[in-house]
Amino acid sequence: MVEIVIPSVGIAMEEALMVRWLKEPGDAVAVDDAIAEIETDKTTMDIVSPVAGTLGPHLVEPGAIVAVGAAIVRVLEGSEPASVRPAGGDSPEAAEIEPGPAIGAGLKEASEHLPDERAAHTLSPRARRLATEREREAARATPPADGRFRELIAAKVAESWREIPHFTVSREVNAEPMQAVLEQLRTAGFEPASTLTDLLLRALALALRDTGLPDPIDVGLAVATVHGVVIPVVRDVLAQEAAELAASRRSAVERARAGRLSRDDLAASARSTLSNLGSFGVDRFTGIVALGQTSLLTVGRALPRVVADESRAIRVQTCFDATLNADHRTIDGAEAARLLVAFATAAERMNSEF
Amino acid sequence: MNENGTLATSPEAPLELDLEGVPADTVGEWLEAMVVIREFEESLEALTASGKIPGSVHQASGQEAVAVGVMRALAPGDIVASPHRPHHHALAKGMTADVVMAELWGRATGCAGGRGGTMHLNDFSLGYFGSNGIVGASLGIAMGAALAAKLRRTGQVCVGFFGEGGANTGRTWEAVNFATTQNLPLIAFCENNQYAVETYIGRAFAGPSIAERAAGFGLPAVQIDGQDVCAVYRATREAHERALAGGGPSFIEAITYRYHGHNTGEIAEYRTEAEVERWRLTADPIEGLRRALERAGRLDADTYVELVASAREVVAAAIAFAESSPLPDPATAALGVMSLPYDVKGPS
Amino acid sequence: MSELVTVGKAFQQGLREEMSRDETVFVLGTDLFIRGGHFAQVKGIGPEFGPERVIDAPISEAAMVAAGVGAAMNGMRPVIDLNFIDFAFGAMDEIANQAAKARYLWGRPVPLLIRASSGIALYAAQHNNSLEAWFMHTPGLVVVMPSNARDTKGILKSALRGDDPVVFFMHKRLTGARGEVGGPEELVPIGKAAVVREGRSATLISGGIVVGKVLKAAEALARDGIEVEVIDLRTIFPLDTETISASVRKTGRAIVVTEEPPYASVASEIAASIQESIFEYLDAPVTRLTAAHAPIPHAPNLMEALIPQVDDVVRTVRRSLERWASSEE
Repeated sequence: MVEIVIPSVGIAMEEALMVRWLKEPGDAVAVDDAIAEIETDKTTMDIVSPVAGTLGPHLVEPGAIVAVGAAIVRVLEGSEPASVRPAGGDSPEAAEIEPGPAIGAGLKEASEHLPDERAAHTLSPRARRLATEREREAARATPPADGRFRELIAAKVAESWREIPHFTVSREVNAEPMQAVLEQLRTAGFEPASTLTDLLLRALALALRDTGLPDPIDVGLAVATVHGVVIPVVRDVLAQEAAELAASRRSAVERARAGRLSRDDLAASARSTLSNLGSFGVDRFTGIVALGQTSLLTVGRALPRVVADESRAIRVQTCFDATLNADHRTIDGAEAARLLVAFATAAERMNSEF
Repeated sequence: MNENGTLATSPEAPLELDLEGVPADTVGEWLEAMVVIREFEESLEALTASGKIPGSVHQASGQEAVAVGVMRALAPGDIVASPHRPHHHALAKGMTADVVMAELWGRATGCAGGRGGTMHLNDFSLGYFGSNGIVGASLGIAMGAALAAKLRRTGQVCVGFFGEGGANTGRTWEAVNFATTQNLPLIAFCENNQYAVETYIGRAFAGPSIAERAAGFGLPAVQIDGQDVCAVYRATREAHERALAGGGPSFIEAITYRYHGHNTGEIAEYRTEAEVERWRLTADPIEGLRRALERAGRLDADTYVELVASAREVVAAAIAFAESSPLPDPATAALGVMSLPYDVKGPS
Repeated sequence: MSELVTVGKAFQQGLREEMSRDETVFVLGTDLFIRGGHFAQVKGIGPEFGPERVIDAPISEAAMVAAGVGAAMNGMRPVIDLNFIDFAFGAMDEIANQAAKARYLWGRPVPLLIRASSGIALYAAQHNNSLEAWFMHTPGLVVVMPSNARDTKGILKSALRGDDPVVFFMHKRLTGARGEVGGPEELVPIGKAAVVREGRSATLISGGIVVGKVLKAAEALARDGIEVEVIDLRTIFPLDTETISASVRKTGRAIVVTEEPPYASVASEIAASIQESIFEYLDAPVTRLTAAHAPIPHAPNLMEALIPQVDDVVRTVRRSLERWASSEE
């Protein structure tokens, strides 16, 4: 018999909302069958069964908030007989009470025998109350929006803002090499077609590798959706050829828009995220680094600009502004500069061979 | 010895009352009072057996002369405290059958609002300072009240009743000793019905008699026939006058007998029916007074019959009153414990 | 008044003033008239007020308290002095079955004050019982335990003007402690605790002589920057749950310090009620620091080893702060 629990995905996930059951008690389930839908602070996702067997009674009801690690259902493998147990019921045997150390007999402090360790996720009652109150205040401070999702974004973003000391470094980047690469890739005719975002992802991944990040390099991609910004993850960017990368990027965007991020998206493997508001008409902007990441690259629109070179000759060049928003706890100014310059270099040297 | 091997007791002689020293105009009322007590006590066996009265009660049938004889010798403001067998004292002190019955039934109209039951009757307006479930405690309270009477110079005399069982508790003699050292206006009245629950006094009491033990404490102590209401009256009056004159406390031991067991529903194996019958036939206190009044030409048979009938009516009315009375309000169950406020907690 | 008076004298002052004001107040106990009681608590009052106001009794605790109950029910306001609270065992029925219950059963108030010297001192086990919990546990009794001269006098006055039976604990070792006292109309309310030191790190709750030890511990902790709040209960029952609650909400941490044995103690009641009512304000479990669960022996070094000392209080506070961190509001 296997117990299915709420997984912890994402840096600060402590609980999830049980949205609905996809399988009923007694149903046969196969490996990887989706059995329930939960909503975390980032997205809605499916809980799948790791084994084949028969589903046991539902241990939680739709609408319940369930803690990470708590069991929601059991799957009875193979031909195990289902035991009849009420939802949420405990074992009928009384718990054995172990006698504690002798109290009294010279001990003056009655609570000396209490155990030293507490479970890693418990806070004192006071701390929990304060945390709840702060969340409520944060939720109140943001404009009302649809549902719990907005509240969660608000709480997370507020926490990032509070915890992470941000600074930015900026650079104007020549867009023309990447535009040329795009032209070439489009003639190859694969679907989905490559976009500038793919190339920006690649350039950022190259820059990360250049500044010492080991492979595989996952990069987050900020996607605007009706519910708010969602950040899916494009995995192992540098291992993918153009067509693959385009497909990965599109899949990421689709996942984000459908509100259905995968476990990989939430596994917190990305150190950096790309956010491109160029198509929204923005020249440049600063953003908020996601909790668990160390930087965010914000990119504005590519437009013809008048530029001068070292000989002070003037010409017109299509450029865009790139800003690296960094967590000063881990990244100092020089490092940030190096990373941004590595990005600019990768972008300006990009060719279609990758 | 009884046939079954238990120790036997008999009246010393058939009861012959002497009406000397007894107020002629009121002695007829005494008979009435005693009959009401008898009818009241006799009604209780059935009521407890049926559960209408919760639990059991302690009947005093056979002890009417003690109650009436003492109370009629007291002044209106005098104070009395009783032990756990108190109905006869309460009724003789002037409480109505209604409020006593309702208290036994646990109704809101009882003299303690249903909170006290049979052992905790009270009426402070009549000077009845409660009956008490703890043997010997009522003497202590009467003694304290006597101390206040002396200090405040109220002229009250206080009577503390206890049984012969109470004559063996330490607190009883602490109270007697202290009252005597302080010269208090107290009458320590031992209602010796010879059986402390199931133990015959002869097996539990060391020494010649309770009165003689008391005399050792230095206060005037007498032993009297508790079935003779006139003897009880005279002894109490003498003690009362002594107290008022500043002569301090007195001790009266009255030999009496209870026809029923220690409490209703008891199956008595410690004495025989024959013994009980002997006492009924030769030393019944009501019969004793009735015969004496008849002989003196103050009572005819018809009057007696009417008297009994009207006593029965009083008791029937009391039962009806209790039955139709409301139960106390559960919301008040934890209230009135003390005047300072606090959270009583509990299931709500 | 600004002169310093001992606790013993403060009691005398209060009693004298109340006896002058109300002729129904009298005292009864052993060795009171000439000696003034075993702790001189009524010294001089006998000769001043006469043998009907200060009554010497034989060694008959049951009769003494019964006299108090009966007299209280018949218009007086008796003070029954048991000398040592340990002698209350011989009058338990009178206290718990008679005095405590007359109002409930019969609606008859019993304005009786039982004074006794208490606490851990000399003369070994039978003269060193802690009975606060016994009386707290009996519905119908008010239990007070002042820690200083002002409260001794002020609470005595409140008790003698109130309607309830009061058990008045005076710690033997506090008899000579000096302090200021209030005037003839300065009553200290029964049922109100006092915050005698303010702080934020923890709330220390105690009563009687232990308050002094706790305040010394507070000074030691303050030298290390730990500021604790100290509550002097003053009344054991009814407990001032409001004052306790307000303080623990602020500090998030409560430590109850008493000289009693731990099981079913006053400290246990306070700990249970704090965690039950304001759980969400606690950073740490409520700690009880009490004497050990043993009778008190004669040898002073043994005796001191059984009861909480200033060091124990300091250590308990530190340990709580180390093990369970504070959450800042």
